[in-house]
Amino acid sequence: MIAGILLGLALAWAVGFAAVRACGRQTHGGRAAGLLAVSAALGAGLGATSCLAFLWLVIAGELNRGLLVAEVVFGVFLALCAKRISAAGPAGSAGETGTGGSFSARERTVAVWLTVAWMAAAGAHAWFGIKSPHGGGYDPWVTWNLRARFLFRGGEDWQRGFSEVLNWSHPDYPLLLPVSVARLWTCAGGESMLAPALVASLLFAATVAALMAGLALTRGREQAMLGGIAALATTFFVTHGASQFADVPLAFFILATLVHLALHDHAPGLGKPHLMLAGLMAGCAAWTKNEGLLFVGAAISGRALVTVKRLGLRPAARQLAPFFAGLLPVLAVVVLFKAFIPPPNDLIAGQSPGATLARLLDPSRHLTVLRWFGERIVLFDNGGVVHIVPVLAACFLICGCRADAFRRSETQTCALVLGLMLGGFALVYVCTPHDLLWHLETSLDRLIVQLWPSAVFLFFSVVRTPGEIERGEGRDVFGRRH
Amino acid sequence: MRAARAHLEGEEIIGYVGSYPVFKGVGEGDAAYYLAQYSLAPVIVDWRPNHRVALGDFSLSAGEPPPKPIPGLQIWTNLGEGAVLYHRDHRP
Repeated sequence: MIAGILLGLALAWAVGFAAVRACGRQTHGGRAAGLLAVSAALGAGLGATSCLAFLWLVIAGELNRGLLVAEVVFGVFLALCAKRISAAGPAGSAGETGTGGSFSARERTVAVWLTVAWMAAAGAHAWFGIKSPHGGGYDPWVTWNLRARFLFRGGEDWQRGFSEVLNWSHPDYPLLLPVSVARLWTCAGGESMLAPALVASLLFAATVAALMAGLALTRGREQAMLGGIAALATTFFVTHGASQFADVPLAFFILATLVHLALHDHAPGLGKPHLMLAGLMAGCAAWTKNEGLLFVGAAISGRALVTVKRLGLRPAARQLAPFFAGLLPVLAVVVLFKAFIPPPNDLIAGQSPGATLARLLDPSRHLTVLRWFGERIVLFDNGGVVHIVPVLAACFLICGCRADAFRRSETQTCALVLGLMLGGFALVYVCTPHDLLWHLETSLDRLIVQLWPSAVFLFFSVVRTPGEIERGEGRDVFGRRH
Repeated sequence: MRAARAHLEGEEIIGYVGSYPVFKGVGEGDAAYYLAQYSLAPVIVDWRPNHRVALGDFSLSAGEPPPKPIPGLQIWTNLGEGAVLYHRDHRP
């Protein structure tokens, strides 16, 4: 059974590699570019194979091994597209910053701490996998693994899992994770809780890998290692990822989108591939959780605002075209699912014009949401040894930021998209038909963790690197130039 | 629950009655109900008992609990450890 699961994962990864390459030639050379390609391939592979498996369910009526043949054919098709694209011209370079050469004494120290952090995270994931094989907390087994069981065990009756009787298990949630798990069980010929645990841990590792690779390509090796340590030192991010919640997989797709947008801006000569991959990752975010749909809106509007302001309307529209080319195939599957399969979402079904307006016009609800956002963001990771946000704020005060930090389009895009996401979350809370305090209490930390890796990416993109501090480049927090 | 699954082959939806009421929140009764649904998928377990077949889940009660009588339903099979299957038309 284990061999079947590993084979299924390898097949998804291979399809993902072909999909990433079919988006066009990206940065070449260097371990950072390779690491980014490997992590993007995992996400793209799980996204593509779960979309294919869902379409297979709709057309063929049940999950069976015929699906694997379809996946191989699809993978070969993508590989042929990738081959044709790579024959068309050489890859560009993102201008890797300080990713080559031998390690300095300081970098070696940072590398040791990074290794310790990776080992601790791996240990935590192994421990959680053994202790709670069905997932920690309610959501993993009450929502994701339950749905996977309906899809796998249900055969031709797979749609039973979307019955209105099961509204408490959120049958309207998108299907990337449950279909991926059911697909791996189909490969294995039986249920093994190794499948959801592996998917969760691999996507967690891919998140940190994408964060480090993105920082290495834009800010250098040392900054990448520091970013990796900051992410891995966030206890809630590590344990939540190990608990099989869908928030960390969503965090991966959000981060991967923003990293690919940043790489496009960092080296604009590379052309469309990073934009197309960003669109593909945003589509996968929408296929992972409903918040991913909000992210798609935030990413499109944030990106449009930045590019229209900098380049004008027509060039901005030209930039968005490859993004949409990557986004639309996955979004079409999400729309198909939302339109025909599940009962309506509880947050939307609980709205009526009068009640929603009354909630929107109630200042006490806005104040409550603002207070909770402030507290929970500052005290984020309150199960950890230290609160990570005040630590990073202190680092920012001490280190200062790079000279052109806030004028760069990649920084502006990332900050604006994250801001729009927070605004969207706040609006959902203000309008929630559920008890507001209960809703905030049970979900706000999970929403913050969805944005956390991207926030770490933004932070280390802005803050000065140790090398820049040594050379006296950039400016301190009081705006004084060095 | 494995024994219950064997009995429920072919059923699409069954009812449920537990030791504690189900509020579809995070209480004790809710956890037992979710667990029953998780175990018995792809059979849909309704949190109300009013179906042709219903699962009685009294495993949270202390000791070996006696199956609760449910109006209109008769005991079909006592699966042990607090689990009972009821049937509307069953004649023992």
